[in-house]
Amino acid sequence: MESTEPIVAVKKGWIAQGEHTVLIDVNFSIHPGQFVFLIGKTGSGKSSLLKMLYGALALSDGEAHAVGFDLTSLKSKQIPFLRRNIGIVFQDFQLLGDRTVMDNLLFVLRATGWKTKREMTARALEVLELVGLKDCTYKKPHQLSGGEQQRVVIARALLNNPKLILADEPTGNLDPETSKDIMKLLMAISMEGTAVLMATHDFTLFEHFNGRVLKVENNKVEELNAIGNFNPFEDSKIF
Amino acid sequence: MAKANPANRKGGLQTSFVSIVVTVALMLTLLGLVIAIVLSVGTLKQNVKEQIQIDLFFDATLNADDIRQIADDIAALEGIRRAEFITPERAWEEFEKISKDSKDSLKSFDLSLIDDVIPIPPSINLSPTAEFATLESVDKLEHDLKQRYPQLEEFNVSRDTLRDVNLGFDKLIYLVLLIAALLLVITFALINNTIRLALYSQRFIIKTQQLVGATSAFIRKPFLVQAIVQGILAALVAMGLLFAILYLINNYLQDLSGLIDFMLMLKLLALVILLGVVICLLATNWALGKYLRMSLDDLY
Repeated sequence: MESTEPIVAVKKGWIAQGEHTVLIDVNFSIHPGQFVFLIGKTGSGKSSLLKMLYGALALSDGEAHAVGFDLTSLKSKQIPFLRRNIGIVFQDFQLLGDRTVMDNLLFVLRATGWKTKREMTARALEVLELVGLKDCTYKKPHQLSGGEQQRVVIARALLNNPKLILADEPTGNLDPETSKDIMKLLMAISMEGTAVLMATHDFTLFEHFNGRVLKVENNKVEELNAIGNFNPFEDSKIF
Repeated sequence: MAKANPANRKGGLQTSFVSIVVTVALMLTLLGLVIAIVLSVGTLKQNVKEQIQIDLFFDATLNADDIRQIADDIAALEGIRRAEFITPERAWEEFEKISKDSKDSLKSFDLSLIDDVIPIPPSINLSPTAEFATLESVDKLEHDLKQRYPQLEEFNVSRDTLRDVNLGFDKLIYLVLLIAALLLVITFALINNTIRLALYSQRFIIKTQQLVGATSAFIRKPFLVQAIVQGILAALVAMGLLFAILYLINNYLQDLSGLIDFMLMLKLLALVILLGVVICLLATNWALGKYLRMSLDDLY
């Protein structure tokens, strides 16, 4: 897997929020199908790193590439097309509460250039089946549990067959059992070939699930050796 | 994490749509009234200018037929609205009428004729077009006519009235335009605020589209279409109100009744619709830009 072109590659990257430097000399790469934990305390710069990857924050120095886009010279007109190749699963990037699950997905498909109603419906049903929620198409978000809502958010992220999924605390508001289900789902997605970069401050997660670990601390990003060896397709005895 | 009841949220959006239309309509009505004044000041000025009269008197070498001929020639000149030959009889009738109406200076004037000879010579009464009713044009007309007709003895015109008409109306127009500009700024500020508040409830829809990769143009389109609809609806409501106000003015203020005509209303309609649409579009685009630039963290 390492022989393929990396989905994300950052070399000597500097990230700043206004005057304040958040991360210095960031070096890492992510290849297709890899699951990478991004751990660190709240406010350490995890979210800033993710923001840089989806074009919400410019790189102040160094080089960065993601899903085929050069982030160093990214123009604002290119940002929408960069994001169509990235699935975003954020704690505060919620579903629209005034419409059904199906309408939430159709809304995203329309916004990303899909035209045919039949193709859109078929794709929405396909991703809902992937996350195991095919029966919830006509429910509104408030009729779903927290875990189900997060599954729909993941389904939404998968709509445009992204090469990379950026997840920021996707299990933040969930109970341990539901968190485990969401983790299994994300693991399964990565095994299908989509790279997943998941920011979390829950250090126990990467002890149980197999993945690379990047630790953000003191303005630096460094690779740790992961423990755990979890396969979502086998029955887990960890929990 | 608490979610607003969807029914309430929808109601809220409809209310904001209606409140934008009402706010814009009221401001457009005010603005439309000022525009109506600006447009009718022009007509009023033109009416007054067209009332300006010039009397030409010739020496005794010319007989009535010569003067009648000159009147016809003058009528064909550029800048002359009408030129009329006035017989001594008609001039006397006019003079008598003025004397009867007058209560003071002419009252004691003896109007009986000596040997039935009318002491007023034949003359020409002319009016320049509104465009030529200026001091410069009238001076030039006098100069030209005196060169052309050496027998022209008197060129009577009230130069004070001419000066007042031109200067007075210009000052009035500047004042009204200043008020209109001020109203336009106030209107824009108020409408911008209303639209910005209404879009606030849509900020998550805007952000969702941005995060999944919708282009800026795609996100803006439905809001701008809505702004055009709001602008047109508001302009129609405003025109309804304006028609009512102008109808009342037409009926109760007789002096102003001739000023409001079909063309004026048509121009007003076009201007109010244009202003309504442009103001709504600009304000919406402005507010949208603000929410599009905002980061996800700032939305809460």
